[in-house]
Amino acid sequence: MKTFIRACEVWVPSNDRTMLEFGGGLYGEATRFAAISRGLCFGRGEGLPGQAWEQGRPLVLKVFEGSYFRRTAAAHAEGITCGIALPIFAGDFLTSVLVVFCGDDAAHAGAIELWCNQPGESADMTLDDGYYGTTAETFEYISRRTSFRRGTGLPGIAWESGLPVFFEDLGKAARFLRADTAQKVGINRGFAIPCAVRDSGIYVLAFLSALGTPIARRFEVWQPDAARERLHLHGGFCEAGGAIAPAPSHLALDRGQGTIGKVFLTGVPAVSDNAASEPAGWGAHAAELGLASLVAMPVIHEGRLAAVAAWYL
Amino acid sequence: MVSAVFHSSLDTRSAEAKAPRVSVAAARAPIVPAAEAAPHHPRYDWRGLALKVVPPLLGIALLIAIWGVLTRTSTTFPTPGATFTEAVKVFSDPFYRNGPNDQGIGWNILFSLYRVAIGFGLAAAVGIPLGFLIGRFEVIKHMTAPLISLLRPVSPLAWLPIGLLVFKAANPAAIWTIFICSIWPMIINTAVGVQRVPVDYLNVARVLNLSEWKVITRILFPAVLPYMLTGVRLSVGTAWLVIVAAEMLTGGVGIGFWVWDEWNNLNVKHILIAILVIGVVGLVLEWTLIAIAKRFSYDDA
Amino acid sequence: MSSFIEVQDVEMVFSTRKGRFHALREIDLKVERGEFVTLIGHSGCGKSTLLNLIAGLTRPTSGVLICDEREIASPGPERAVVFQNHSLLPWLTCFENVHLAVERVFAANEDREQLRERTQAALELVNMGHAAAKRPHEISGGMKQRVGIARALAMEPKVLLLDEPFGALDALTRARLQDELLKIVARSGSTTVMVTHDVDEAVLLSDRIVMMTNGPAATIGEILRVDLARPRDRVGLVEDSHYTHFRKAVLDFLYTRHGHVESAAA
Repeated sequence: MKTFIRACEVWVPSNDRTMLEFGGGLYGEATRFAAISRGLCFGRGEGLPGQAWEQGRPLVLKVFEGSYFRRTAAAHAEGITCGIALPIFAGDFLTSVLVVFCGDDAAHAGAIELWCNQPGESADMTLDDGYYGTTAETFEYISRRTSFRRGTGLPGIAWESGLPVFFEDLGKAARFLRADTAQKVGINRGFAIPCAVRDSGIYVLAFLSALGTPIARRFEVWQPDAARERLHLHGGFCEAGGAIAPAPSHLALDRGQGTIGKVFLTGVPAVSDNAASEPAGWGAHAAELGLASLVAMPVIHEGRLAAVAAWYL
Repeated sequence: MVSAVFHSSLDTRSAEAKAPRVSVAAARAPIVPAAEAAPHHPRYDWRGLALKVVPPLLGIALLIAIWGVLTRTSTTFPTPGATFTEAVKVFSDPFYRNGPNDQGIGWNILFSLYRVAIGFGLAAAVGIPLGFLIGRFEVIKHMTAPLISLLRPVSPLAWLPIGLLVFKAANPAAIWTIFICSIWPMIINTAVGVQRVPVDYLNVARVLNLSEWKVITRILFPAVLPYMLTGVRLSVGTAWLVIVAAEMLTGGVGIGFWVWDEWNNLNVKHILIAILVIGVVGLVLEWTLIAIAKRFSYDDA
Repeated sequence: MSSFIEVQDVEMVFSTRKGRFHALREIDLKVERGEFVTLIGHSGCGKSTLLNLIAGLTRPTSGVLICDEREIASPGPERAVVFQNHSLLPWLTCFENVHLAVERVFAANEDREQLRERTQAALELVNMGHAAAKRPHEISGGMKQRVGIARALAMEPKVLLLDEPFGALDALTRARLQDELLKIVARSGSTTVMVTHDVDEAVLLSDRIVMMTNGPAATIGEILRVDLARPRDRVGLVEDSHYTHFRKAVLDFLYTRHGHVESAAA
């Protein structure tokens, strides 16, 4: 992968709901880490996925030593330095945990942030924690001191709408790192996904990147139709082609059709490292654009699946 | 903002400088530089002073010259010289009393001023509080606005017969006429002043939580005072104008009556003197009020 | 735990001759005791309206404002206001202007001499002791604003409210008064809410900057916590990269993300 996301994995509860079992993952070049992970399972409260289940809310873990993390050595060996676990709840019921791993990369500029609001206590959405790349110090400094209100800013708009949001330009007036190469730094692209948690609290996960080093090369938002039978591409953004217009209905996906359709059917995130094999013409489209890896996750709002967010790495 | 309400005395003075004036530059000299501050130069500004004193003198001299030329051969209209001689006679004994209808010019002026003062005082006592109420309360404003608009343009002299009818005597009728003509500017200017009190001052009062009485005395009254004084100043000019006319119609003692009386005696010299006297007194009244207004005005830039 | 000032779900709709004007919507704000909070935004974003609501000069259409656990129902000297146009009464001297406020608040408990001392002290605090006998038209704009601040502070208010207090002044005077305000607020420890247009002023003075969206129906967009160390030194901060970051963050909000379009405001 070219982005600082090193791995994405999905953990699902076992049949007796005592353990979390491996449900698929994308590991790119971190093969050792992949090998170890595939064989693991986590009890409630164990390891990063187990902790997310236990606490009932998203977690950002940046210091592996001495924590509940179980794959510290393997992670360090692959240069993985941060894990973000997203438990996906339908009401009190845990459907899955999506875990995203990031590593330091001298060439990238980006961040993943977890924003949180406690309704009733505060009207502010503040930074719970975040992972920041090497050139994002200023961004981190300001983010830690900023709070958003409902409807303002990337997290604020995801909060208000309850749907995934993409910002082509965050409006943070990018600077130029080197005038000769006109390479823009400054984080100005992002997408945010609201996360449904077990207890109260509104969480939004924001993936931010600079123009030259995008977090994802393509981002899509799919929404079910009124009858909740089929899933339609609502919009998104592609680095190659710009904003994505809503797709016509003949390109919609049925429940269970392809990776994204599977998410629609099961309400559990899914990953694929062979995007070219996706159905309904989307696979061919992905192959055309040279996109191989795909992550899709459900966005639950008020107990129901409101959208599926998909990103191609 | 408030200081713009008063136009400079220079504007009115140049208009009056053209009125025929036999006397005495001496009467005017102390008044001329009083309004302007002397410039603080090491050398006195002779040129400026000259510019202010010489042209008016020239203007008057020119007028007297034309007057003299036109009347040199006239039998009905007196010459400047003859008028001056008569003036000296009149002013040499201004306070004689030969009977109720024949008194010195001094008494005439004082009686007229007395009537103006009473009528004026009553107008202020009624008009200013009414102006406050109109400015402060929308309802009262709407109630009185059509009445004021209707009655204001009516010539005061049209009110005189009503005064004579009700009061059955010349003196009260004249005072009534003064009252009715000077009350309008007082009401209107005071009302405008109250409405124009800057919201900021009232907000200051609100933040300080001042009592209603304190708001009226410490904030409203001083803020409205310049407007009130403008109203008063406008009224005085009209009042003085009207008293002369009213007295011509009612008789008795007074400068207006004296004019009419002298006309009946075909004493044109006395009429001309009266004109001069009326003008001077009016000017003095105006200047006094301007001085008072200046004393109470402030720049709130 | 309740805050010193609480604005709870406040809406403000004005009925004007041209119809209803929705000035503010869904305003929720908490200000802690001793905090310095700045409201910043483009013209027409309702920041002055919000300040007037906190002052009690206006009542909200819906919602509640609370100061020190009591509902804000009317204006009063415990929430002193420094107006944009100084609002000194022009027929009183500087001393008398401040004395009016001092008398109002303290006359019940103190004698004339004490009141006089208070007034003089307030004027000294803003370096205007020497001009106590002057009338407003005899002093400059910056001095007038100083007296306005003296008047507000003389009341020993719980909350100091400033509505673009330095907007009408030239840059040098503004800078000087900002520095003085910093010192005064540090000394008195008063809770302060200030409205401003000036980004540098906001970053220099505030503990938190409340950035408002554009009107109509403006609301709070983002809040930035400025935790630069106090006492703050204007010259030193120019070199401080954090100061620059804060400044850029506010500028981005105002000009990059919420650029004001005049026609849209109509």
